[in-house]
Amino acid sequence: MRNQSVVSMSRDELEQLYSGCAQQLFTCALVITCSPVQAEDAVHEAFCRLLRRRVAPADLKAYVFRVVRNAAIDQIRRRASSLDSLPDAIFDASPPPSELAEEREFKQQIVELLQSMSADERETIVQHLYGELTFQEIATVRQRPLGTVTSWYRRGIEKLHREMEVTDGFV
Amino acid sequence: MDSSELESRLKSLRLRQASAGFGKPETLAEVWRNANHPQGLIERFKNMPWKLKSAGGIGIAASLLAVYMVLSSSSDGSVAFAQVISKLNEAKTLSFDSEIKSVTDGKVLHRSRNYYMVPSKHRSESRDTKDGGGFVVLNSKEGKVLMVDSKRKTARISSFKGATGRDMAAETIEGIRSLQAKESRPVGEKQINGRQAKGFEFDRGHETTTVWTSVETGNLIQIQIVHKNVPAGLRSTLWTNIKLDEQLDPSLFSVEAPPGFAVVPFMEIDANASPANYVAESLRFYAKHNNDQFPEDLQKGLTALLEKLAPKQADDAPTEEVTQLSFYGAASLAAIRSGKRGELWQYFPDVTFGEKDKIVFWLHEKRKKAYSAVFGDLRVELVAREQLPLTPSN
Repeated sequence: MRNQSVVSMSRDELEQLYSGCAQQLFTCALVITCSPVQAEDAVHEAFCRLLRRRVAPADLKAYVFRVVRNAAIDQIRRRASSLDSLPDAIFDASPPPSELAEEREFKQQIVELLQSMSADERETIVQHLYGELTFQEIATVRQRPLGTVTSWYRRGIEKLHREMEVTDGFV
Repeated sequence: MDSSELESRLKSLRLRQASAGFGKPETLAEVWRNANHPQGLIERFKNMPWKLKSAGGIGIAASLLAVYMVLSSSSDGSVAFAQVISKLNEAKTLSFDSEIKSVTDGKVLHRSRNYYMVPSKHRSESRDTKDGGGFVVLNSKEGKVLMVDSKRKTARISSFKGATGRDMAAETIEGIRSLQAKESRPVGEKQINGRQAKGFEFDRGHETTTVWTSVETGNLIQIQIVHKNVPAGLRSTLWTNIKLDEQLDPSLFSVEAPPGFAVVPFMEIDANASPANYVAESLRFYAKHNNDQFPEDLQKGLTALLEKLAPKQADDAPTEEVTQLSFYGAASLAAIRSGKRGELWQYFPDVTFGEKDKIVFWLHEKRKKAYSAVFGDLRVELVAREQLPLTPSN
Protein backbone atom coordinates (compact mmCIF):
# COMPACT_ATOMS: atom_id res chain seq x y z
CA MET A 1 0.00 0.00 0.00
CA ARG A 2 1.25 3.48 -0.84
CA ASN A 3 3.30 5.11 1.93
CA GLN A 4 2.03 2.61 4.44
CA SER A 5 5.37 2.17 6.20
CA VAL A 6 5.87 5.89 6.53
CA VAL A 7 2.32 6.51 7.69
CA SER A 8 2.39 3.77 10.29
CA MET A 9 5.73 5.06 11.56
CA SER A 10 4.71 8.62 12.30
CA ARG A 11 0.94 8.59 12.50
CA ASP A 12 0.73 7.99 16.23
CA GLU A 13 3.30 10.67 16.98
CA LEU A 14 1.45 13.12 14.80
CA GLU A 15 -1.84 12.30 16.51
CA GLN A 16 -0.26 12.84 19.90
CA LEU A 17 1.19 16.16 18.85
CA TYR A 18 -2.12 17.23 17.34
CA SER A 19 -4.06 16.38 20.50
CA GLY A 20 -1.43 17.46 22.97
CA CYS A 21 -0.52 20.76 21.34
CA ALA A 22 -3.87 21.66 19.84
CA GLN A 23 -4.25 24.97 21.65
CA GLN A 24 -0.63 25.99 21.06
CA LEU A 25 -0.77 25.13 17.37
CA PHE A 26 -4.07 26.92 16.98
CA THR A 27 -2.83 30.08 18.70
CA CYS A 28 0.41 30.18 16.72
CA ALA A 29 -1.54 29.83 13.49
CA LEU A 30 -4.10 32.37 14.66
CA VAL A 31 -1.52 35.10 15.25
CA ILE A 32 -0.70 34.80 11.54
CA THR A 33 -4.12 34.31 9.99
CA CYS A 34 -6.13 36.46 12.43
CA SER A 35 -8.98 34.14 11.52
CA PRO A 36 -9.95 31.24 13.79
CA VAL A 37 -11.38 29.27 10.88
CA GLN A 38 -8.28 29.71 8.80
CA ALA A 39 -6.10 28.91 11.78
CA GLU A 40 -7.86 25.59 12.21
CA ASP A 41 -7.65 24.96 8.49
CA ALA A 42 -3.95 25.77 8.51
CA VAL A 43 -3.31 23.25 11.27
CA HIS A 44 -5.29 20.58 9.48
CA GLU A 45 -3.65 21.34 6.16
CA ALA A 46 -0.27 21.08 7.85
CA PHE A 47 -1.07 17.69 9.31
CA CYS A 48 -2.10 16.46 5.88
CA ARG A 49 1.25 17.62 4.53
CA LEU A 50 3.00 15.95 7.45
CA LEU A 51 1.25 12.68 6.82
CA ARG A 52 2.65 12.62 3.31
CA ARG A 53 6.18 13.25 4.48
CA ARG A 54 8.42 10.27 4.01
CA VAL A 55 11.29 10.95 6.39
CA ALA A 56 10.79 11.74 10.04
CA PRO A 57 12.49 15.05 10.99
CA ALA A 58 15.01 15.24 13.82
CA ASP A 59 12.82 17.56 15.91
CA LEU A 60 9.28 16.56 15.16
CA LYS A 61 7.62 19.15 17.40
CA ALA A 62 9.49 22.09 15.90
CA TYR A 63 8.94 20.71 12.44
CA VAL A 64 5.19 20.43 13.02
CA PHE A 65 5.01 24.04 14.18
CA ARG A 66 7.01 25.07 11.14
CA VAL A 67 4.68 23.30 8.74
CA VAL A 68 1.68 24.81 10.52
CA ARG A 69 3.27 28.26 10.22
CA ASN A 70 3.84 27.76 6.49
CA ALA A 71 0.27 26.57 6.06
CA ALA A 72 -1.00 29.64 7.92
CA ILE A 73 1.02 31.90 5.64
CA ASP A 74 -0.39 30.05 2.65
CA GLN A 75 -3.85 30.65 4.03
CA ILE A 76 -3.45 34.40 4.11
CA ARG A 77 -1.88 34.39 0.65
CA ARG A 78 -4.89 32.55 -0.73
CA ARG A 79 -7.35 34.79 1.00
CA ALA A 80 -9.53 36.66 -1.47
CA SER A 81 -9.44 39.83 0.56
CA SER A 82 -7.34 40.97 3.45
CA LEU A 83 -8.78 40.75 6.91
CA ASP A 84 -8.07 43.31 9.54
CA SER A 85 -4.93 42.39 11.37
CA LEU A 86 -6.27 41.89 14.84
CA PRO A 87 -3.90 40.37 17.35
CA ASP A 88 -6.72 40.23 19.86
CA ALA A 89 -7.94 37.27 17.83
CA ILE A 90 -5.62 35.11 19.91
CA PHE A 91 -7.38 36.09 23.12
CA ASP A 92 -10.78 34.97 24.26
CA ALA A 93 -13.28 37.25 22.55
CA SER A 94 -16.06 36.50 25.03
CA PRO A 95 -14.51 36.38 28.48
CA PRO A 96 -16.61 35.20 31.40
CA PRO A 97 -18.56 37.78 33.38
CA SER A 98 -16.29 37.04 36.31
CA GLU A 99 -13.33 38.59 34.52
CA LEU A 100 -12.35 41.70 36.41
CA ALA A 101 -12.34 45.08 34.78
CA GLU A 102 -8.65 45.33 35.56
CA GLU A 103 -7.97 42.14 33.64
CA ARG A 104 -10.01 43.33 30.70
CA GLU A 105 -8.10 46.58 30.69
CA PHE A 106 -4.77 44.79 30.88
CA LYS A 107 -5.74 42.54 27.99
CA GLN A 108 -6.84 45.48 25.91
CA GLN A 109 -3.54 47.22 26.52
CA ILE A 110 -1.62 44.12 25.54
CA VAL A 111 -3.68 43.80 22.39
CA GLU A 112 -2.89 47.34 21.37
CA LEU A 113 0.79 46.96 22.15
CA LEU A 114 1.09 43.70 20.30
CA GLN A 115 -0.53 45.36 17.35
CA SER A 116 2.02 48.14 17.40
CA MET A 117 5.11 45.95 17.41
CA SER A 118 6.71 44.22 14.45
CA ALA A 119 5.24 40.96 13.15
CA ASP A 120 8.46 39.13 14.05
CA GLU A 121 8.39 40.36 17.62
CA ARG A 122 4.68 39.68 18.01
CA GLU A 123 4.88 36.19 16.57
CA THR A 124 7.91 35.31 18.67
CA ILE A 125 6.17 36.38 21.87
CA VAL A 126 3.11 34.33 20.96
CA GLN A 127 5.19 31.31 19.99
CA HIS A 128 7.15 31.41 23.23
CA LEU A 129 4.44 32.31 25.72
CA TYR A 130 1.41 30.65 24.17
CA GLY A 131 2.95 28.13 21.80
CA GLU A 132 5.20 26.96 24.62
CA LEU A 133 8.16 26.69 22.28
CA THR A 134 11.72 27.15 23.45
CA PHE A 135 13.81 29.76 21.67
CA GLN A 136 15.75 26.99 20.01
CA GLU A 137 12.51 25.48 18.73
CA ILE A 138 11.35 28.87 17.51
CA ALA A 139 14.65 29.29 15.69
CA THR A 140 14.01 25.95 14.00
CA VAL A 141 10.43 26.87 13.16
CA ARG A 142 11.38 30.24 11.73
CA GLN A 143 14.68 29.04 10.26
CA ARG A 144 16.50 31.95 11.80
CA PRO A 145 19.54 32.09 14.10
CA LEU A 146 18.88 31.64 17.79
CA GLY A 147 20.27 35.10 18.51
CA THR A 148 17.83 36.72 16.13
CA VAL A 149 14.90 34.99 17.74
CA THR A 150 15.93 35.90 21.25
CA SER A 151 16.43 39.50 20.12
CA TRP A 152 12.96 39.64 18.68
CA TYR A 153 11.54 38.32 21.90
CA ARG A 154 13.59 40.57 24.15
CA ARG A 155 12.77 43.67 22.15
CA GLY A 156 9.09 42.80 22.12
CA ILE A 157 8.93 42.19 25.84
CA GLU A 158 10.88 45.35 26.52
CA LYS A 159 8.41 47.32 24.47
CA LEU A 160 5.54 45.84 26.41
CA HIS A 161 7.32 46.49 29.66
CA ARG A 162 8.17 50.05 28.78
CA GLU A 163 4.76 50.93 27.42
CA MET A 164 2.96 49.37 30.35
CA GLU A 165 5.06 51.38 32.75
CA VAL A 166 4.31 54.55 30.82
CA THR A 167 0.64 53.75 30.56
CA ASP A 168 -0.24 52.88 34.10
CA GLY A 169 2.85 52.09 36.06
CA PHE A 170 1.86 48.45 36.36
CA VAL A 171 -1.13 48.85 38.58
CA MET B 1 6.50 44.46 37.92
CA ASP B 2 9.61 43.00 36.34
CA SER B 3 9.79 41.18 33.04
CA SER B 4 9.18 37.77 34.54
CA GLU B 5 6.06 39.02 36.29
CA LEU B 6 4.90 40.56 33.04
CA GLU B 7 5.44 37.26 31.27
CA SER B 8 3.48 35.44 33.97
CA ARG B 9 0.63 37.87 33.63
CA LEU B 10 0.68 37.57 29.87
CA LYS B 11 0.51 33.81 30.19
CA SER B 12 -2.52 34.08 32.42
CA LEU B 13 -4.62 35.73 29.72
CA ARG B 14 -7.40 33.54 28.44
CA LEU B 15 -6.80 32.44 24.90
CA ARG B 16 -9.37 32.07 22.19
CA GLN B 17 -10.50 28.48 21.89
CA ALA B 18 -10.78 26.56 18.66
CA SER B 19 -14.03 24.88 17.70
CA ALA B 20 -15.28 21.93 19.72
CA GLY B 21 -13.90 19.15 17.55
CA PHE B 22 -10.50 20.70 17.03
CA GLY B 23 -7.69 18.78 18.74
CA LYS B 24 -9.59 15.51 18.97
CA PRO B 25 -7.98 12.45 17.37
CA GLU B 26 -11.18 11.62 15.48
CA THR B 27 -11.15 15.06 13.89
CA LEU B 28 -7.62 14.53 12.64
CA ALA B 29 -8.56 11.07 11.39
CA GLU B 30 -11.41 12.59 9.40
CA VAL B 31 -9.13 15.31 8.03
CA TRP B 32 -6.68 12.67 6.85
CA ARG B 33 -9.42 10.61 5.29
CA ASN B 34 -10.73 13.64 3.40
CA ALA B 35 -7.22 14.54 2.30
CA ASN B 36 -6.83 11.14 0.73
CA HIS B 37 -10.08 11.62 -1.09
CA PRO B 38 -10.22 15.29 -2.02
CA GLN B 39 -13.61 16.73 -2.58
CA GLY B 40 -14.33 18.14 -5.96
CA LEU B 41 -17.12 17.88 -8.39
CA ILE B 42 -16.77 14.14 -8.48
CA GLU B 43 -17.14 13.86 -4.74
CA ARG B 44 -20.16 16.11 -4.82
CA PHE B 45 -21.89 13.83 -7.20
CA LYS B 46 -22.09 11.13 -4.59
CA ASN B 47 -25.74 11.70 -3.87
CA MET B 48 -27.53 12.03 -7.10
CA PRO B 49 -31.13 10.93 -6.52
CA TRP B 50 -32.52 13.93 -8.34
CA LYS B 51 -30.38 13.24 -11.34
CA LEU B 52 -31.09 9.56 -11.43
CA LYS B 53 -34.79 10.02 -10.91
CA SER B 54 -35.15 12.31 -13.84
CA ALA B 55 -32.55 10.73 -16.07
CA GLY B 56 -35.00 9.21 -18.51
CA GLY B 57 -36.69 12.48 -19.26
CA ILE B 58 -33.68 14.69 -19.64
CA GLY B 59 -31.17 13.12 -21.96
CA ILE B 60 -28.98 10.17 -21.58
CA ALA B 61 -25.67 11.87 -22.18
CA ALA B 62 -25.49 14.17 -19.20
CA SER B 63 -27.22 11.59 -17.07
CA LEU B 64 -24.65 8.95 -17.80
CA LEU B 65 -21.84 11.33 -17.14
CA ALA B 66 -23.42 12.07 -13.80
CA VAL B 67 -23.75 8.38 -13.10
CA TYR B 68 -20.11 7.99 -13.98
CA MET B 69 -19.34 10.55 -11.33
CA VAL B 70 -21.39 8.62 -8.82
CA LEU B 71 -19.61 5.40 -9.58
CA SER B 72 -16.16 6.85 -9.59
CA SER B 73 -16.71 8.42 -6.22
CA SER B 74 -18.38 5.39 -4.74
CA SER B 75 -15.12 3.53 -4.75
CA ASP B 76 -13.58 6.02 -2.41
CA GLY B 77 -14.46 4.05 0.70
CA SER B 78 -11.61 3.68 3.11
CA VAL B 79 -12.20 0.00 3.34
CA ALA B 80 -9.86 -2.92 3.55
CA PHE B 81 -9.70 -6.62 3.36
CA ALA B 82 -6.25 -8.09 3.28
CA GLN B 83 -7.20 -11.10 1.20
CA VAL B 84 -8.17 -8.99 -1.74
CA ILE B 85 -5.33 -6.54 -1.72
CA SER B 86 -2.76 -8.84 -3.23
CA LYS B 87 -5.11 -9.52 -6.11
CA LEU B 88 -5.52 -5.82 -6.71
CA ASN B 89 -1.87 -4.91 -6.59
CA GLU B 90 -1.22 -5.67 -10.21
CA ALA B 91 -4.72 -5.13 -11.56
CA LYS B 92 -4.90 -3.13 -14.76
CA THR B 93 -8.57 -3.54 -15.47
CA LEU B 94 -11.69 -3.67 -13.39
CA SER B 95 -15.28 -4.15 -14.43
CA PHE B 96 -18.54 -4.65 -12.60
CA ASP B 97 -22.30 -4.36 -12.85
CA SER B 98 -23.75 -1.57 -10.80
CA GLU B 99 -27.27 -1.22 -9.53
CA ILE B 100 -28.45 1.83 -7.63
CA LYS B 101 -31.72 1.52 -5.81
CA SER B 102 -33.82 2.97 -3.06
CA VAL B 103 -33.46 0.97 0.12
CA THR B 104 -36.81 2.28 1.32
CA ASP B 105 -38.99 0.86 -1.44
CA GLY B 106 -36.55 -1.35 -3.33
CA LYS B 107 -37.06 0.58 -6.55
CA VAL B 108 -34.13 0.29 -8.95
CA LEU B 109 -32.98 3.73 -10.06
CA HIS B 110 -30.19 2.86 -12.42
CA ARG B 111 -28.28 -0.10 -13.78
CA SER B 112 -24.99 0.00 -15.61
CA ARG B 113 -21.89 -1.98 -16.52
CA ASN B 114 -18.64 -0.22 -15.78
CA TYR B 115 -15.19 -0.79 -17.15
CA TYR B 116 -11.91 0.67 -16.00
CA MET B 117 -8.57 0.30 -17.71
CA VAL B 118 -5.31 1.70 -16.41
CA PRO B 119 -4.22 4.23 -17.41
CA SER B 120 -7.02 6.72 -17.33
CA LYS B 121 -9.88 5.01 -19.12
CA HIS B 122 -13.41 4.46 -17.97
CA ARG B 123 -16.60 3.37 -19.69
CA SER B 124 -20.05 3.23 -18.20
CA GLU B 125 -22.85 1.56 -20.15
CA SER B 126 -26.42 2.19 -19.18
CA ARG B 127 -28.49 -0.96 -18.73
CA ASP B 128 -31.72 0.93 -18.27
CA THR B 129 -34.07 -0.18 -21.01
CA LYS B 130 -36.22 2.92 -20.69
CA ASP B 131 -33.24 5.01 -21.69
CA GLY B 132 -32.74 3.03 -24.83
CA GLY B 133 -29.12 2.50 -23.96
CA GLY B 134 -26.16 4.76 -24.02
CA PHE B 135 -22.71 5.02 -22.65
CA VAL B 136 -20.03 7.37 -21.48
CA VAL B 137 -16.34 6.95 -22.16
CA LEU B 138 -13.94 9.07 -20.25
CA ASN B 139 -10.24 9.30 -20.89
CA SER B 140 -8.83 11.54 -18.20
CA LYS B 141 -5.31 11.36 -19.58
CA GLU B 142 -6.46 12.73 -22.92
CA GLY B 143 -8.93 15.01 -21.17
CA LYS B 144 -11.83 13.85 -23.32
CA VAL B 145 -15.27 12.52 -22.62
CA LEU B 146 -17.66 10.87 -25.06
CA MET B 147 -21.35 10.69 -24.21
CA VAL B 148 -23.43 8.52 -26.48
CA ASP B 149 -27.20 8.48 -26.63
CA SER B 150 -27.94 5.25 -28.46
CA LYS B 151 -31.65 5.89 -28.62
CA ARG B 152 -31.29 9.15 -30.47
CA LYS B 153 -28.07 8.26 -32.30
CA THR B 154 -26.21 11.25 -30.98
CA ALA B 155 -22.74 11.59 -29.54
CA ARG B 156 -21.45 14.45 -27.46
CA ILE B 157 -17.73 14.92 -27.27
CA SER B 158 -16.33 17.27 -24.73
CA SER B 159 -13.04 18.20 -23.22
CA PHE B 160 -12.67 17.19 -19.62
CA LYS B 161 -10.65 20.00 -18.16
CA GLY B 162 -8.67 19.45 -15.01
CA ALA B 163 -8.57 15.70 -15.24
CA THR B 164 -5.50 15.25 -17.40
CA GLY B 165 -3.23 14.71 -14.43
CA ARG B 166 -5.47 12.08 -12.95
CA ASP B 167 -5.90 8.44 -13.64
CA MET B 168 -9.44 7.73 -12.58
CA ALA B 169 -9.17 4.09 -13.51
CA ALA B 170 -6.18 3.66 -11.25
CA GLU B 171 -7.88 5.68 -8.55
CA THR B 172 -10.87 3.40 -8.62
CA ILE B 173 -8.75 0.30 -8.27
CA GLU B 174 -6.62 2.06 -5.68
CA GLY B 175 -9.79 3.02 -3.84
CA ILE B 176 -10.44 -0.62 -3.18
CA ARG B 177 -6.80 -1.51 -2.72
CA SER B 178 -6.26 1.17 -0.10
CA LEU B 179 -8.72 -0.41 2.24
CA GLN B 180 -7.22 -1.12 5.58
CA ALA B 181 -8.23 -4.25 7.37
CA LYS B 182 -8.12 -2.66 10.81
CA GLU B 183 -10.99 -0.36 9.92
CA SER B 184 -13.32 -3.18 9.00
CA ARG B 185 -15.53 -5.46 11.04
CA PRO B 186 -16.47 -8.97 9.95
CA VAL B 187 -20.14 -9.58 9.30
CA GLY B 188 -20.00 -13.34 8.91
CA GLU B 189 -20.45 -15.56 5.90
CA LYS B 190 -23.25 -16.22 3.44
CA GLN B 191 -23.91 -17.88 0.11
CA ILE B 192 -23.88 -15.62 -2.93
CA ASN B 193 -24.79 -17.36 -6.18
CA GLY B 194 -23.63 -20.68 -4.78
CA ARG B 195 -20.33 -19.35 -3.52
CA GLN B 196 -19.45 -19.10 0.14
CA ALA B 197 -18.60 -15.48 0.86
CA LYS B 198 -17.08 -13.71 3.82
CA GLY B 199 -18.24 -10.17 4.56
CA PHE B 200 -16.46 -7.09 5.91
CA GLU B 201 -18.26 -3.91 6.81
CA PHE B 202 -16.81 -0.41 6.91
CA ASP B 203 -18.14 3.00 7.85
CA ARG B 204 -16.99 6.17 6.24
CA GLY B 205 -18.84 9.42 6.63
CA HIS B 206 -22.38 8.92 5.48
CA GLU B 207 -21.68 5.58 3.87
CA THR B 208 -21.53 2.02 5.00
CA THR B 209 -19.71 -0.32 2.66
CA THR B 210 -19.96 -4.08 2.81
CA VAL B 211 -17.46 -6.12 0.84
CA TRP B 212 -18.05 -9.80 0.20
CA THR B 213 -15.13 -11.97 -0.86
CA SER B 214 -14.91 -15.61 -1.79
CA VAL B 215 -13.92 -17.78 1.15
CA GLU B 216 -12.25 -20.15 -1.27
CA THR B 217 -10.31 -17.79 -3.54
CA GLY B 218 -10.35 -14.40 -1.86
CA ASN B 219 -11.83 -12.88 -5.02
CA LEU B 220 -14.23 -9.98 -4.78
CA ILE B 221 -17.81 -11.12 -5.17
CA GLN B 222 -19.92 -8.16 -4.21
CA ILE B 223 -19.61 -4.63 -2.87
CA GLN B 224 -22.57 -2.77 -1.44
CA ILE B 225 -22.44 0.88 -0.49
CA VAL B 226 -25.35 2.33 1.47
CA HIS B 227 -25.62 6.10 1.21
CA LYS B 228 -27.30 7.44 4.32
CA ASN B 229 -27.57 11.16 3.78
CA VAL B 230 -29.99 11.22 0.90
CA PRO B 231 -33.09 13.21 1.89
CA ALA B 232 -35.40 10.91 -0.04
CA GLY B 233 -34.23 7.91 1.98
CA LEU B 234 -31.43 5.38 1.99
CA ARG B 235 -29.87 4.59 -1.36
CA SER B 236 -27.63 1.65 -2.06
CA THR B 237 -25.16 0.93 -4.80
CA LEU B 238 -24.48 -2.74 -5.44
CA TRP B 239 -21.50 -3.93 -7.47
CA THR B 240 -21.68 -7.48 -8.74
CA ASN B 241 -20.03 -9.57 -11.43
CA ILE B 242 -16.74 -7.95 -10.45
CA LYS B 243 -13.85 -8.87 -12.71
CA LEU B 244 -10.22 -7.98 -12.25
CA ASP B 245 -7.67 -8.04 -15.04
CA GLU B 246 -9.94 -9.49 -17.68
CA GLN B 247 -8.87 -8.78 -21.25
CA LEU B 248 -10.79 -5.72 -22.41
CA ASP B 249 -10.99 -4.56 -26.00
CA PRO B 250 -9.21 -1.18 -26.17
CA SER B 251 -11.85 0.01 -28.65
CA LEU B 252 -14.31 0.04 -25.76
CA PHE B 253 -12.53 3.16 -24.58
CA SER B 254 -12.51 5.08 -27.85
CA VAL B 255 -13.60 8.67 -27.42
CA GLU B 256 -14.61 8.99 -31.08
CA ALA B 257 -18.27 9.05 -32.08
CA PRO B 258 -19.57 5.68 -33.29
CA PRO B 259 -20.16 5.50 -37.06
CA GLY B 260 -23.54 6.86 -38.04
CA PHE B 261 -23.99 8.94 -34.90
CA ALA B 262 -24.54 12.67 -35.12
CA VAL B 263 -22.00 14.64 -33.17
CA VAL B 264 -23.59 17.25 -30.95
CA PRO B 265 -21.45 19.92 -29.33
CA PHE B 266 -21.33 19.95 -25.60
CA MET B 267 -19.87 22.29 -23.07
CA GLU B 268 -16.45 21.80 -21.58
CA ILE B 269 -16.53 19.96 -18.29
CA ASP B 270 -14.22 21.01 -15.51
CA ALA B 271 -13.48 18.16 -13.14
CA ASN B 272 -12.15 20.55 -10.54
CA ALA B 273 -14.83 23.19 -10.77
CA SER B 274 -16.53 24.23 -7.60
CA PRO B 275 -20.16 23.19 -7.38
CA ALA B 276 -20.77 26.87 -6.59
CA ASN B 277 -20.05 27.56 -10.26
CA TYR B 278 -22.78 25.13 -11.20
CA VAL B 279 -25.17 26.74 -8.74
CA ALA B 280 -24.42 30.06 -10.42
CA GLU B 281 -25.14 28.59 -13.85
CA SER B 282 -28.33 26.97 -12.57
CA LEU B 283 -29.47 30.29 -11.15
CA ARG B 284 -28.67 31.94 -14.47
CA PHE B 285 -30.97 29.47 -16.21
CA TYR B 286 -33.63 30.01 -13.58
CA ALA B 287 -33.48 33.79 -13.84
CA LYS B 288 -33.62 33.61 -17.62
CA HIS B 289 -36.86 31.67 -17.52
CA ASN B 290 -38.41 33.50 -14.57
CA ASN B 291 -38.21 37.20 -15.33
CA ASP B 292 -34.80 37.69 -13.73
CA GLN B 293 -35.99 36.29 -10.42
CA PHE B 294 -34.16 33.81 -8.20
CA PRO B 295 -36.19 30.94 -6.71
CA GLU B 296 -37.61 31.16 -3.23
CA ASP B 297 -36.35 27.64 -2.61
CA LEU B 298 -33.25 26.56 -4.52
CA GLN B 299 -34.02 22.87 -4.63
CA LYS B 300 -37.68 23.20 -5.52
CA GLY B 301 -37.00 25.98 -7.97
CA LEU B 302 -34.42 24.08 -9.99
CA THR B 303 -36.49 20.92 -10.00
CA ALA B 304 -39.55 22.84 -11.21
CA LEU B 305 -37.52 24.53 -13.94
CA LEU B 306 -36.20 21.25 -15.20
CA GLU B 307 -39.66 19.76 -15.31
CA LYS B 308 -40.91 22.82 -17.15
CA LEU B 309 -38.21 22.62 -19.80
CA ALA B 310 -37.99 18.85 -20.15
CA PRO B 311 -39.26 17.33 -23.41
CA LYS B 312 -42.99 16.72 -23.31
CA GLN B 313 -42.71 13.34 -24.98
CA ALA B 314 -40.33 10.66 -23.83
CA ASP B 315 -38.98 10.20 -27.33
CA ASP B 316 -38.28 13.88 -27.88
CA ALA B 317 -34.65 14.83 -27.78
CA PRO B 318 -33.79 17.27 -25.02
CA THR B 319 -32.54 20.64 -26.09
CA GLU B 320 -28.95 21.57 -25.44
CA GLU B 321 -30.14 23.99 -22.83
CA VAL B 322 -31.98 21.25 -20.97
CA THR B 323 -28.98 18.97 -21.17
CA GLN B 324 -26.78 21.64 -19.71
CA LEU B 325 -29.30 22.50 -17.06
CA SER B 326 -29.57 18.85 -16.09
CA PHE B 327 -25.83 18.78 -15.59
CA TYR B 328 -25.64 22.06 -13.68
CA GLY B 329 -28.75 21.27 -11.67
CA ALA B 330 -27.51 17.83 -10.72
CA ALA B 331 -24.24 19.27 -9.51
CA SER B 332 -26.00 22.02 -7.60
CA LEU B 333 -28.44 19.75 -5.86
CA ALA B 334 -25.83 17.12 -5.15
CA ALA B 335 -23.76 19.82 -3.51
CA ILE B 336 -26.48 21.13 -1.25
CA ARG B 337 -27.67 17.65 -0.39
CA SER B 338 -24.24 16.59 0.75
CA GLY B 339 -24.26 18.79 3.84
CA LYS B 340 -26.31 20.88 6.18
CA ARG B 341 -27.68 24.25 5.28
CA GLY B 342 -25.87 26.86 7.32
CA GLU B 343 -22.80 24.66 7.69
CA LEU B 344 -21.88 23.51 4.21
CA TRP B 345 -23.94 25.99 2.24
CA GLN B 346 -26.48 28.77 2.47
CA TYR B 347 -28.92 30.33 0.04
CA PHE B 348 -30.33 33.86 0.25
CA PRO B 349 -33.53 34.15 -1.80
CA ASP B 350 -33.93 37.85 -1.01
CA VAL B 351 -31.00 38.79 -3.22
CA THR B 352 -32.02 40.20 -6.57
CA PHE B 353 -30.51 39.09 -9.85
CA GLY B 354 -27.74 41.55 -10.70
CA GLU B 355 -26.94 42.69 -7.17
CA LYS B 356 -23.19 42.48 -7.42
CA ASP B 357 -22.46 43.27 -3.77
CA LYS B 358 -24.71 40.65 -2.24
CA ILE B 359 -24.05 36.96 -1.83
CA VAL B 360 -26.92 34.79 -2.98
CA PHE B 361 -25.26 31.45 -2.23
CA TRP B 362 -22.16 30.21 -0.51
CA LEU B 363 -20.56 26.83 -0.21
CA HIS B 364 -17.86 25.75 2.22
CA GLU B 365 -14.98 24.49 0.10
CA LYS B 366 -13.24 22.16 2.48
CA ARG B 367 -10.55 21.32 -0.02
CA LYS B 368 -9.75 24.99 -0.61
CA LYS B 369 -10.20 25.86 3.03
CA ALA B 370 -12.42 28.76 2.04
CA TYR B 371 -15.91 29.64 0.92
CA SER B 372 -17.09 29.95 -2.66
CA ALA B 373 -19.62 32.73 -2.86
CA VAL B 374 -22.07 33.33 -5.68
CA PHE B 375 -22.96 37.00 -5.89
CA GLY B 376 -26.16 38.48 -7.26
CA ASP B 377 -24.51 39.11 -10.61
CA LEU B 378 -23.61 35.40 -10.61
CA ARG B 379 -19.88 35.80 -10.43
CA VAL B 380 -18.18 33.32 -8.12
CA GLU B 381 -15.38 34.27 -5.76
CA LEU B 382 -13.55 32.71 -2.87
CA VAL B 383 -14.24 34.62 0.32
CA ALA B 384 -13.30 34.36 3.98
CA ARG B 385 -15.85 33.18 6.48
CA GLU B 386 -15.99 36.64 7.96
CA GLN B 387 -17.32 37.98 4.67
CA LEU B 388 -20.35 35.73 4.65
CA PRO B 389 -23.67 37.41 5.38
CA LEU B 390 -25.76 36.40 8.33
CA THR B 391 -28.06 33.51 7.69
CA PRO B 392 -31.69 34.33 6.90
CA SER B 393 -32.74 33.09 10.33
CA ASN B 394 -30.44 35.68 11.91
